Amino acid sequence: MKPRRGYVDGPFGQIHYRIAGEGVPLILSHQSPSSSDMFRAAYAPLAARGLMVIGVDTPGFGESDVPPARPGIVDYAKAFAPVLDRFNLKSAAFLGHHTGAANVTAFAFRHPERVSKLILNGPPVYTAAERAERASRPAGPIPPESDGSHLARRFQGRVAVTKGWTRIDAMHANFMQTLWAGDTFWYGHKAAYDYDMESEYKALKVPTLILTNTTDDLYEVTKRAHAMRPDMAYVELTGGTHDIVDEQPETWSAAVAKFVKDA
Amino acid sequence: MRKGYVETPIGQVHYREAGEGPPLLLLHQTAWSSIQFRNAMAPLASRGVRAIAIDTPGYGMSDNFDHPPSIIEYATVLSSVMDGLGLTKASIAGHHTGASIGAAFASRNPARVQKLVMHGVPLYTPERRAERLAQPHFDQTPKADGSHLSSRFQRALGTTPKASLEAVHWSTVNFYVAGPTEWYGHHAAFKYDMAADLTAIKSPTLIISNTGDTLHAMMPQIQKMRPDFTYKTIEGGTFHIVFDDGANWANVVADYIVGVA
Repeated sequence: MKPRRGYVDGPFGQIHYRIAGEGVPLILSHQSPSSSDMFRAAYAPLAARGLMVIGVDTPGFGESDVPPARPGIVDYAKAFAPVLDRFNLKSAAFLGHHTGAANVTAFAFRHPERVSKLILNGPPVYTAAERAERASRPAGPIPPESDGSHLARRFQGRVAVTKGWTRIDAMHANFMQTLWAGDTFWYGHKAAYDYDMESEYKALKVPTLILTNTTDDLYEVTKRAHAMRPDMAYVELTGGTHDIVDEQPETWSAAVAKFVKDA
Repeated sequence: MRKGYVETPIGQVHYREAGEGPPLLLLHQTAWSSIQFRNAMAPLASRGVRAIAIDTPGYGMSDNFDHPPSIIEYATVLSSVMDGLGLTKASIAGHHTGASIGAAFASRNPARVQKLVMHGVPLYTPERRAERLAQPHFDQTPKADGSHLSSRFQRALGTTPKASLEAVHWSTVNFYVAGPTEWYGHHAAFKYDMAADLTAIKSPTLIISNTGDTLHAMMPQIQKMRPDFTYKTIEGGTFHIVFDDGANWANVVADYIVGVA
């Protein structure tokens, strides 16, 4: 089942989304640098569980317009209200994966009345020191080289940061989303490192599930985040990488749908 | 620029749009997408053209056929796209495979085509078409060292060494975004017997060719078949000229669509 796609007007131009299923609304926010295509394997299983799933392309990713100036997480969070309004939803459940978890945290912090439930899948609740270290890493556009090595090198880089990977097809599909973002593909990570997530995360008031997988690159960060908010529900899947949605679509979707639909 | 989707019998067709004025549908070569016209959209809009670049089914963000379609099937989807956009009549500019789709559409729907622009007309001989159809498809299987991407890039650059690296990069990205059915467009173009449709076209038609394009050699034959068409030759360039030299290309097209500025 291929989700249908569409556009809605937002504060930085058009916002692109994918939509599948009918029922309880669930908004999905992707990791960076990717797009709502990263949930490709989950649209059908989530829809089969009675959810109306809407994957939102973060501004500057997928087909969503890139903001005129480099955005922060709070800017990314501004993409959600227009999507809710488009479907006449006063509120919805929200799931964010990695940078997406930062996006939905910023939104839930500012608009708790519009977030019925929140799922933080590998929330990047970094310390100030971790953020500073990551922010200092080189970032920026990568010009093409005549031997195509810019592509091979970047692909190898993604393989290297996907320890324990099993799905080269998912690696490729997700890497294509990185390329699709063009010269500003690095904005998403930069925004995540700039964002003081901890203070907003600690103050969240909506029912929240922390979802992780034991070999995800943010597993330890996520466990630490749970220790800050032991009142939040917690589910960990076994194994997996940041391509967990491709690796375990049924298990992942079952965990997500259970939390969204349980009273 | 605005983007959107149109409903068609094969699913959603994606487009990018800029400007106001007489509508001009832009059809890309294989295996690109409407991104091919990225650098031509604003210049066309500034010349008073409503430029609407379509992602051919199976490319960019458009849904795909469930079988390798013919050029005529692509042209049939174009009718639905026009219906969805509320256009009874429009001009069409197609490049390479897009030119084939334009020819098939214009010859069957003369009342719906204001003006036709074809750039790089793939009027192959039956022998050449059979030869191209027999070529194996490029193996897209991902490799952990990323060589599936770099080898494709190298091959793309090899066939058009004078194109910008940026154009070759985006041709590679579009090729992989189209995925395992990236060959549908070329397959359709090589199956298509264009000559009869070329003869039948009734709309005012401009043929553009650039001397650095692999299809430039076909110009004399087309000129012989249709001496009544308008012809414009651009010096140099490659088959990525629309991407690499979008502003000049837009001016050539706009001169024909809305008149010389």
